[in-house]
Amino acid sequence: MSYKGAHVQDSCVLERRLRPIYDWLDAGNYKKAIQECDKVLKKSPNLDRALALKALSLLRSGKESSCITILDSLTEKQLADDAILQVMTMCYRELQQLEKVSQLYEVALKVDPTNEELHTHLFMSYVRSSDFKQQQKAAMALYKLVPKNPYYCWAVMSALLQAIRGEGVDHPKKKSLLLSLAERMIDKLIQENKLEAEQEVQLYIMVLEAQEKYDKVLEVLDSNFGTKLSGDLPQLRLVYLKHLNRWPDINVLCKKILSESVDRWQIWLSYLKSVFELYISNNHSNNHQQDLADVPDLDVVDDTPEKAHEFICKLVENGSDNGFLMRGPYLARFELCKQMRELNKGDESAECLLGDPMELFIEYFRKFGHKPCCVSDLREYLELLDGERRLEMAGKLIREVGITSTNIPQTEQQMQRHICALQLSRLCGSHANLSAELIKALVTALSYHYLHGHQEYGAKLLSTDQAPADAYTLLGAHFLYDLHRMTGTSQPLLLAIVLLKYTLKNSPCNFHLKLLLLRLYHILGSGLNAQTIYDSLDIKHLQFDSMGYAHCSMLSSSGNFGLASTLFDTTVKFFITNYKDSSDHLTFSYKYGSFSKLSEFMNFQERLGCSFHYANTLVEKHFVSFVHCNTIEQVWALDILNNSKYMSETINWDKLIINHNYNVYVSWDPERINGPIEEWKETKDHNERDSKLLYIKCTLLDCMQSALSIFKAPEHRRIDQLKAKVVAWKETIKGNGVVEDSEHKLLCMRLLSKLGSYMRAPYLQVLGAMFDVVEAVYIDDMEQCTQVIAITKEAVKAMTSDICEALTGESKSPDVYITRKVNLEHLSYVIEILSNVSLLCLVCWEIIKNSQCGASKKAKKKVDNSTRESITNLVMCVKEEITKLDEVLKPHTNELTPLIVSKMGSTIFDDLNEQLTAMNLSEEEGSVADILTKAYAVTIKELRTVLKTKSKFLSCIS
Amino acid sequence: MTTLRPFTCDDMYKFNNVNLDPLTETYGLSFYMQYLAHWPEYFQVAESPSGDIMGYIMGKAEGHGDNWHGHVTALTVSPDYRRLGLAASLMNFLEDVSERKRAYFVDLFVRVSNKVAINMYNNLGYIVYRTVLEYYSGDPDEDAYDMRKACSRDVKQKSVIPLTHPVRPEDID
Repeated sequence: MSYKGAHVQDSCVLERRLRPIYDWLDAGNYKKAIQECDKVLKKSPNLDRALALKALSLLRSGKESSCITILDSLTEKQLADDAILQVMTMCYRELQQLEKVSQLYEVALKVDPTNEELHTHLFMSYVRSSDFKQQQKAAMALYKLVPKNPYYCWAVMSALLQAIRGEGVDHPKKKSLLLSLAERMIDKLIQENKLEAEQEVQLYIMVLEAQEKYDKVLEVLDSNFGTKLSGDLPQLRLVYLKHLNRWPDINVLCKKILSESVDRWQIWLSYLKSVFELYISNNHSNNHQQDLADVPDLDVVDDTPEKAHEFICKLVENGSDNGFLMRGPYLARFELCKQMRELNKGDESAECLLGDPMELFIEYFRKFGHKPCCVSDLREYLELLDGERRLEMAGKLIREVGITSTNIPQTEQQMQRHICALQLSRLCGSHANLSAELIKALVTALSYHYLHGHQEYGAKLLSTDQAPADAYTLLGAHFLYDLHRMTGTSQPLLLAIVLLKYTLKNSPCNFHLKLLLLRLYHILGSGLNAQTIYDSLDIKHLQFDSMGYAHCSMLSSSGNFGLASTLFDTTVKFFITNYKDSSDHLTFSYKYGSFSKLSEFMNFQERLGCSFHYANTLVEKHFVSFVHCNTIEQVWALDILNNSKYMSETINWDKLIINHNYNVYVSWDPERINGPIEEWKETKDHNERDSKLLYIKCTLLDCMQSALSIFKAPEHRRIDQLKAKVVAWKETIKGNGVVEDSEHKLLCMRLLSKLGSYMRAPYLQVLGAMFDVVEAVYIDDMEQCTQVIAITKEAVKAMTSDICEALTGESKSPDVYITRKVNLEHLSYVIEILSNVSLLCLVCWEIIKNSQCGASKKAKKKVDNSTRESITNLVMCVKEEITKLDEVLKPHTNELTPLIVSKMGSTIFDDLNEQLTAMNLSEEEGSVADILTKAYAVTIKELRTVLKTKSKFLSCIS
Repeated sequence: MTTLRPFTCDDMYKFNNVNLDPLTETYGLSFYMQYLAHWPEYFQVAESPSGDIMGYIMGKAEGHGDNWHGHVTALTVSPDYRRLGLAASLMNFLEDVSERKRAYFVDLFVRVSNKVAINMYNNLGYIVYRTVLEYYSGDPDEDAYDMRKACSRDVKQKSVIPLTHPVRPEDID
């Protein structure tokens, strides 16, 4: 007893002494944590846990090598104290050396072989590194020590994973061996009557499924084991019946489910699939006769479209469920029609059975036209009508609603039906070839309808509701975008912003309005205004990945380097933290026995880690950090210099995956009939262009990294490495050739890739020459140096004179907003190039300094002096050009709206302006021009500051 | 269209049309992952025929003895798919799972100001079991109703006898 008491006291004292270290670590104050460690270690130098904590503190304050030294010394001691091992585990995880964790616990288990905790940690360490084989071994060892079911199941799951994700993938024989092993392991549990928990039954099913033993799965579901499952059993049975092509069973089962709840869409699809499978096979055998006399309806197999139709009609008659009219049977008729059409191309059987499909649409509209989902439901089946009949139907629907140019909706339902009819009309292509005049009239009518709908039916709504009348504005914005495309002017875009902003004031929570505003601001190049809207969307967590394309990726090319930098940091932090945490979720799955989620979690981990947006943001972040590098000290503290590998080598190019959610943008463009935006060819083309652009930027980043860390490489490889990187970059750019921009056709579509505009910026001319200068200085070739410096100077001058000319001409351009956007984008590239040039000038300077220090021969020094002079000369030239550009930018910081804007109203928009006046919007329009101009001025000011600091920076190195 | 299927990680990439709505919170990844790992059967999504997410429900089973119950953590329906009976279907599903897990009752918390939701839960058979004071932090803090519905295992309906006094958040077991 006395011993134990002393021990307890000891550990209390220990905890109390170590507590402050943990506290400092938690608070993120690593310096204090190290001090505290040292204090403890002074008193008890052999306290390993304090040492481990010191290692962790050192690691987190960036002292990786000191950390590793301590870790190595601790490893030698062959410790088995879990508290210490946990701290060491954290170190190794942060060092991304997961295999070391497993080694630690393997050693610990030799010291303390019966410790369940240590065994568990060893197993989990293999889970984290996805070493399925070792997982299985560790789990079995654990089970032998502590014969609990979960441990046994861990071993089974590990064998299963080896088969389906590990070595079994490439070796079919191994796969079947592993799977039958897994099955035998479970059989043993069953024989011993130990298979009890739901998770264990699920695992059993997974093992059987992997072997395609679907019959056996069904047996399990029908047995006592099935009762342990909390999922939807009939739905589960359907999955396996389908694998076995047991269509009659599927048919009857579906009928049973549907007659209980008519609205289950997946079941409808399965039902109809079974009907047609049976119909086709019966047509071949043609001897199938059923005696229908004594069989209850529900047990009859429906094997012809006629029987299916009858079944659907019966459910339609049965009417509602939960007091709601259900869409299921109505939509099932469309699906039946579609499948009949597919089966009997060109014949009229579908029409014979179901009548004119147009009548189906009209009936559905009558029943559900007051629900917003009516449009997306019908959209899926519009292909049943050809182009002309679609137009005919659209006309009928509009007439059906009864709203003409002279009257307004009398009830909220009528308004909703009006909206629905308008949206369907647009989907049907009714608005595809309208003249500008007609579009204008339509927009006027829509804004009028919005105003009326808002006043009549918007008053009672909560601020968090989406007002139904907002849909008029959304439609209006899309029409205005059509008008913009037709006329090529920015006016319609400004008006769309007015309309959206006005509506947003009334419905501050409608995110559709915000998404459109976000896009319109970016189309106009106004990153600052986009940011305000973006903030109100409260994008966070995984949305950084799924929505980042709509804003984050646009910021640096609209000159908003400051905003970009902040958002890039947040985004990268999200990815890093979550990628690290994602292995925790795997360990939880084992802990709770949710084996069915493991593969899903691993795929998700990969999807997150290989995100295109992540890679893109990382690369962009480095370029922005170059732009923001103001002093020589900041250069040598750049993040990129800590990278042990080149960026292009860290990105898994083959696996990069675009996780953007484009479909969140609603619209009623006829193109939407062809499937989700994610799958459109244009979308894929621009994603492809983005990937090319990322690759170009990445190879340039490699060049910059190589140049900036030239003294880190071994002496004989320095210049060769840089040369190789520069060659790779130049070849990548040249390989892409000239990229013509395509048109951005629809407001709902992702914005065009920047590949075209980037390629038009003189990266190759200026930076290509500049890298030659670095090389010439390094090899100390005076003649070459003079030559390439002259080329560089010319290139820089040409670049600045181009942009200056464009900027000066801006006020004379017919459409200042469009020109401004193009110029601002180009200006952002120029500033990025100038920032890179500045860094490379510094590199030249360092090379010269370095060779002077190391030079022993006097003759060499003379050459250096002339190199030095020519570099100074180059730096002076760049500085001059920066000053020129800065001067040209000066008038652009004027916050007064250019006159040209007020002139704008007098052209084609007179009547719309009247409309806006009626809505008290005339002032608003002015204010949109104002906020665009103000934001532009602020951005230009920021860019001028960048230029000034670059100029100062250059002064420091010459 | 109320076919429900288990929510998967990939659904998080397309739930923006639901989650951008102000009343639906987007949580950190680990929150969803924790539910997926621990109570996968309680996390269901309703998908439209066109493949959009119409809504989803997140829940769990917890408690000891006769407090063993199903809990609704989040229930959300996209604005475009409201008043179609979707929330009811999602709730039914969660209740069914809780029945199969032999729970005594299902409970949920709702802002006292959220009249629409309270009304809906009432219609689904939920009663206000108690008020939890200042459960939702904000400016000002808001009270929650702890609403309950008994499962068949609670034959005597003991779990749904309303408390007469409100409780503090720290006193919720």
